[in-house]
Amino acid sequence: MFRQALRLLRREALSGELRLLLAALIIGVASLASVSFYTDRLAAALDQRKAEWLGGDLVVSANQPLPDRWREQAEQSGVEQSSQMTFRSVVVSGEQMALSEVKAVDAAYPLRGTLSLVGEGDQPRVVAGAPPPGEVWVEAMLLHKLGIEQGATLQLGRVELVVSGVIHNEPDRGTNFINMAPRIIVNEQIILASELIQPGSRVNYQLSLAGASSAIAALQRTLEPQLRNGDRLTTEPDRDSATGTALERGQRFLQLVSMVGFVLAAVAVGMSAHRYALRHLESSAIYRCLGASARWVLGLYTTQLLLLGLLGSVVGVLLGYLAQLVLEQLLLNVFAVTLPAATFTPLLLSLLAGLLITIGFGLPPLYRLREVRPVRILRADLPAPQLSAWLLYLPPLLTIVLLLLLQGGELLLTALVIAGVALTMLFLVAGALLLIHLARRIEPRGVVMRFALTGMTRRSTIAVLQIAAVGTGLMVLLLLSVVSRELLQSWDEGIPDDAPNLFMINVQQAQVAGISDFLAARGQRQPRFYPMVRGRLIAINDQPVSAENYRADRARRLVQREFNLSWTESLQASSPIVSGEPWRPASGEAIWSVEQGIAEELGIRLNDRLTYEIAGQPVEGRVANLRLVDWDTFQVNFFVIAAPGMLDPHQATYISAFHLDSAQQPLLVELVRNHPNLTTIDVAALLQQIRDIILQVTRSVEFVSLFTLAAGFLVLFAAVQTSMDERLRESRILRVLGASRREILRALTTEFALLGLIAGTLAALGAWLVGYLLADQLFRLDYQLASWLWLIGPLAGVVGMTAAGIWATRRVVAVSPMMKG
Amino acid sequence: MLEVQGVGKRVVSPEGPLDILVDISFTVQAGESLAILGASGAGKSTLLGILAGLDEPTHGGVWIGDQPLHQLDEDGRAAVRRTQVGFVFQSFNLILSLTALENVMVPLELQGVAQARQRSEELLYRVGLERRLHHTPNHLSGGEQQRVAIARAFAASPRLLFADEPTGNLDSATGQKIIDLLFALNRDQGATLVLVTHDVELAARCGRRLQIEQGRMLPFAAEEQN
Repeated sequence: MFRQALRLLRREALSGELRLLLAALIIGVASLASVSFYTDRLAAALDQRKAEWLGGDLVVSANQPLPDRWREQAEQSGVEQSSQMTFRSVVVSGEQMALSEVKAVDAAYPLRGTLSLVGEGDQPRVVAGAPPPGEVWVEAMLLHKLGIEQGATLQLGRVELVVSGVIHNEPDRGTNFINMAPRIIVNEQIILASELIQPGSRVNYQLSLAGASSAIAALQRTLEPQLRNGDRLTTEPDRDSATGTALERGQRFLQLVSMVGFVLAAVAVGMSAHRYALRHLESSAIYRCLGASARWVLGLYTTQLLLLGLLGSVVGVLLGYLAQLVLEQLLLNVFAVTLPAATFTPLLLSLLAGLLITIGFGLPPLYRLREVRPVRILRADLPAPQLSAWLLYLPPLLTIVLLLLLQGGELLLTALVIAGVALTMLFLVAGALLLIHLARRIEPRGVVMRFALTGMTRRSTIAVLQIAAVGTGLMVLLLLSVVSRELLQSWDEGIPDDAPNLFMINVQQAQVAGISDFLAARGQRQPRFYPMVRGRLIAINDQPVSAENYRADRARRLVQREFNLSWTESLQASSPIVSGEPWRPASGEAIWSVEQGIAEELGIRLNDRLTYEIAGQPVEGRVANLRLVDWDTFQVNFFVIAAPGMLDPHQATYISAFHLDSAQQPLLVELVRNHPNLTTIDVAALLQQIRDIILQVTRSVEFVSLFTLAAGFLVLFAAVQTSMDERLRESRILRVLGASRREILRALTTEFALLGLIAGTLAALGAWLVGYLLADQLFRLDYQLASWLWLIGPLAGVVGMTAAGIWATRRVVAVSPMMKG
Repeated sequence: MLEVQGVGKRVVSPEGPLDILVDISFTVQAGESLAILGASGAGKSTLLGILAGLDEPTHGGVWIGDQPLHQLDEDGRAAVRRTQVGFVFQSFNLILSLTALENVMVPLELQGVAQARQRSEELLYRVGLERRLHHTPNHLSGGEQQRVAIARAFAASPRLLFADEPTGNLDSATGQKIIDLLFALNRDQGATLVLVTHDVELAARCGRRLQIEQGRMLPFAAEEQN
């Protein structure tokens, strides 16, 4: 039987259904494998370089200096230690300045992994310890930004440093996936002289520890009870951070899109198998007449299908492997990580997935060949054996659920994916049904139009399937290529031209007047300075607050970190009070004004009593009102504002936001030279970076969604094949009646163009709807109706579907009018 | 109206060349009716295909009026079929996705006739299907389907009508009615009828008969040639 199956496969290798089935398997498996390979490599990179990324086996970090006794305790435990300080600061070179992420290290750095610099002739050279005190190592991006080369001098605070190396690999950079500002590494000994760190400056102090696991565990037990509020002790790279969450979401999104492509491909597999079974009813009857058992017949075709499944899965995995290399390139700058080689897990999982859809989607239709009666050989007009709906639809559904579980691993996500896909399909199917129903009312003029319309309206099930499949692929692509870019644009346009483009932070109270005067003397509007004190929310209505009280990631993060608190006599007019009483701090009562969004997030209500801990002291007050803040205006604002007098003014630093034209950049350089502790953040550059990252991620998802579109077209081909016999017959009759090839081609072109128009329009509508909901509900943007979408969607639908449809039905045009039989 | 000269059809089979038709020649005048008789496999349907321009002969030529079919390409022959030829088949060959009315309208629409619907409705009344205009073939009986096919065949007022075993798939009573209808319409329209059948009684209703056996015209049939 195996040999017979192999022979059949060779003979039928070029038959339409088998080619289509193979193509569907390849596309589906490739779609799945590309993302599996990539995410697996990313996860492997995370695991393999965990200690490296963490910077040690155990790391204590804090936003205040660490007590000396911890270092002593570490020394007594016999573990290695290294301390670092990281903070943001502006560096100046000549007339140019740039924001950088400063890392001040000691001689023991790095404890885990290697730090390497780009050396002579592009060969990286490994270095250990800190750069000499008069030198600095920088990322190449900084040189580019400042327009300088190695050997140039940088000013950092009050000190001048010579750029003596360009960083090639920084081992513990990994936890911060997205590089917002270029890194510079300096010797910790220069920090004092630089005068960069002032009271209230945002600095992260870190003690990295490495050694035998027992010693590390013992030290962890010793240190844990001594931790102060805001201190963190960790053995894992921070995956709960915003970037970690973004990474996770990016991966999930890629998986989701690849899964949609996979499901569509699976549908094409099922349809091809269905047609294959129908075409083999006669040969099954002949086998039965020749004495083959029903089981033998089923076994024959099953073996053939499985051989094909294996072939398709192997080729699909190979294609997927190549595709993930493209993904790696597309995301190179987003996840600044060198990925290790792929493991066998995604390979095996993708192969398994391919075989599963072969069995789940391909086998049930073939089962009817088992039911073929030998008498069919005499009576070919006997109806094909019917299969129960359970047998036809249950295995595919179970297969999908199983695969989603294998992929996503989360039940909720799986359910959401199924629901999302089902909802999209429902939308497309309902839309298609409605439009086809409307098309029925058109009285066609001429035979071409009549055939185009009846092709669609009388074979409506097939038409709806084609529209839904191609529409899904198009919709995903439109959403990514057009809507996402337009949303970004709307956001850009929503920012007023004179919105502040610079933030100045870490300003000391004593500097406020000087800076204001400096700017005023040079014709600038005097910026408003806001005091800022950092405090942690410790209780709401005397109930202690901890991360465990919250389910949402954002809320958990918020309560673990320190808030920036401010005080003011009068609230900004641009942030209106939405509930509660007017701001009357003069009353002397201790009151807070809370931003509405964060109040919802943390479950804070009007008149709740909030307790913050500021420099070890509790500060309590009543929530007097809730404010609405439009963060997109780039004005300085705060989640929580106190009445003046509640917060200790000695702890405060000041922040300001103002607009400075690019021609006035030298002013800023002068300002930073005079006040080295200032940190200025160029909002425009920051926004551009965020935009670049979003575009790169979008492009990678777009790339994966090409598989989805390809799978959509395969369903179209499969659907065309289902109607092929009927189409051939009709075409033959038309030819007999005197229709020319051109007329048949015109009828087919019109039919597929109509289908494409419907699919494209629905896809555009769907993409717009999703875009509108995102804009309105999530981003609160004014998303305009007028858009390229309405042109690109239908056009892509018409062109794509017509080309694919004509190619799939080329036999119908070429058919000879000579009747058979 | 129809002239056939030395028509032959040779196909290549695994066992070597095979002659399906050999040296067929005859002429049919306008308004005449001709029956082509023969057993299964005699080559009747192949001949009909060649006469109607559905297939090409490997030898000889066929003229419809003054049009040499064998010198035209497929689209050229399609144009001849569209304007001059009507068909009735054993297996009806209706387009399943179209209604009875729409099926009859097809040849008229192919010719760009403006009153296609009106003319088709008249024809369907004529064949007694006035209550079946909007039924698709699947909802019609065999006899009804063949009536639709006859209405379609006459829709474009062809000068030449080919009928291939028109009663082959019908019971004898229905078959009789269909034949009566076919001849009546043919008489009304004055078309030339070429009918392929193995039914001698049916053949007898035609003006002339041509017998085919193993791809060749039999002598007695040949004698009838003018």
